[in-house]
Amino acid sequence: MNLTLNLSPELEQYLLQSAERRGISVEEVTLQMLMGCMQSQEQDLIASGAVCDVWSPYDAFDAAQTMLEVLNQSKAQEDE
Amino acid sequence: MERFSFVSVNNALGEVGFRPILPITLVYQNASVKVSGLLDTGASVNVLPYNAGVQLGYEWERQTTVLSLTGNLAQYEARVVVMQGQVGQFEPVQLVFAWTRAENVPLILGQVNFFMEFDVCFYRSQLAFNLSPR
Repeated sequence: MNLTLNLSPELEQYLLQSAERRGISVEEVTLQMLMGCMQSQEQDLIASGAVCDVWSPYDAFDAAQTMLEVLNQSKAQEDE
Repeated sequence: MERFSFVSVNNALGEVGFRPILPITLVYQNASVKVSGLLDTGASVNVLPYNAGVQLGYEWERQTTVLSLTGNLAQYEARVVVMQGQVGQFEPVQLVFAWTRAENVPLILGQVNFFMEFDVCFYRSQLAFNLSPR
């Protein structure tokens, strides 16, 4: 998506100086700032102390082994 | 190789986060269901929520291989089911899932065997990931 922005002289100057300081294009520095803004929203999410359910089956080694055995049996039956 | 975007999700407080969620079509016999799966490299296995299994036509009592899962899923019984999974423009692959009695759980794509069938590279800073068959 292409986006056209009308920047104030001050904002333009700020972006140009940021880009020059980092050695990247104005477009790149603007994208990085947008990404940083979105990521800081996520950090607020963590800082709020919200309780989130974690459903990942960590270290379910026995289940994984059983499932692989069933999968291999299924593949062997298909090959017959 | 195909590229997918992270999906923005809102919690109950209206706060925004981003997750690597993949659209995938699951097929079992004559039934197919389009679902969204969470790419979870920390998950030992794929997890299929109870209602999704019912939609695909699985009957709980006919699945005879019982599993014990871990974490919050440990409190729910699970059984093994095998199906086809189709992603993007790629050929379908055989996927094995732990079909859980839990209903309020996301469909999880984990090590066994999603990440054995697909190579995924995460570009979190770009809110995107690349995926290709092994």
